[in-house]
Amino acid sequence: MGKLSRYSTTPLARMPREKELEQIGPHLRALPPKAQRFVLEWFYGPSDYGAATRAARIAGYDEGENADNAKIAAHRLLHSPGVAAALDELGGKFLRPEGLAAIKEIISIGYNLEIDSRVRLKALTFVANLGGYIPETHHTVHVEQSRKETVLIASEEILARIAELAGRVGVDAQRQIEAAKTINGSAVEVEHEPAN
Amino acid sequence: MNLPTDDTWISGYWLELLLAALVKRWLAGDMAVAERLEMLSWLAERPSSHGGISADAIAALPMANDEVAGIVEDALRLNTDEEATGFNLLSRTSTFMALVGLQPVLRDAIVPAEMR
Repeated sequence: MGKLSRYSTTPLARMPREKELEQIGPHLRALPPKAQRFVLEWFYGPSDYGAATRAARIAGYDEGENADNAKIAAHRLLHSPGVAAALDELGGKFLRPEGLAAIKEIISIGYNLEIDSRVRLKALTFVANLGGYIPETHHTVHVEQSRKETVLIASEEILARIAELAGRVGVDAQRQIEAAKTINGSAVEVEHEPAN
Repeated sequence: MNLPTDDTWISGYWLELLLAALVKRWLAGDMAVAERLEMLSWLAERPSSHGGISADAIAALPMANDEVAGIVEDALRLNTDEEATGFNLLSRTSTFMALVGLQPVLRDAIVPAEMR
């Protein structure tokens, strides 16, 4: 079986009724029915390689007079602002009814011996906290960041680019610029002791 | 509508949101300029990526707090060259819901103000 046919084309999502669409929100409702089907299949279906193509195929983008290659259609749809907005909307709506199921799942993660013990410990700590069994917890975060071979100087052009990107993604542009300047603006001479 | 609770129904949408929140946290720390630029560019590219997250959602997404960042980083360490175990875990709806329980403001990025 090839990569593209790894997923069944059996629909996974049920198309919502008009009233249910109203509850989900305006962005999903504004999409054409085929795009709605695509969004729902992509959201609820698998997320691995070929998943978007599968959703486009189920939505019928490779059928009819204006048939499109399912892979191309999937790419086009996932780059569409309307589809992105509908996915955000669906994601938010999904949070509420899933709350209890989530807690149940955390418990199962905590007792799953196949999962890393640190992940399990945190899951169980979370559950214990919900039950009020642990009054205080302490967490140590180890952040691993790889060293880059490329050395960039914080030139005006680079700083402008950092500010522009920071503004787009919702992080404090001024802090990003200051941080970039700080790292590049100081150098400390270190005198190595002779090895024994 | 009926929402699936079976965790075989996973979504890259959740994974992308969690990774973006983690990268925002990393950006609050010290790093080389090249790395900072690379992380900012990665975030800016999310709306056009496979995950299908809107630019508004990326902009509104807060950085991961201590607990969420710790769990996401631990999960990422489960990835190997052969198996994307960590990614699969973070793609699960229930994992995302659990992490939202630890940091409720994560939901603000994708829940319209009138629904909160």
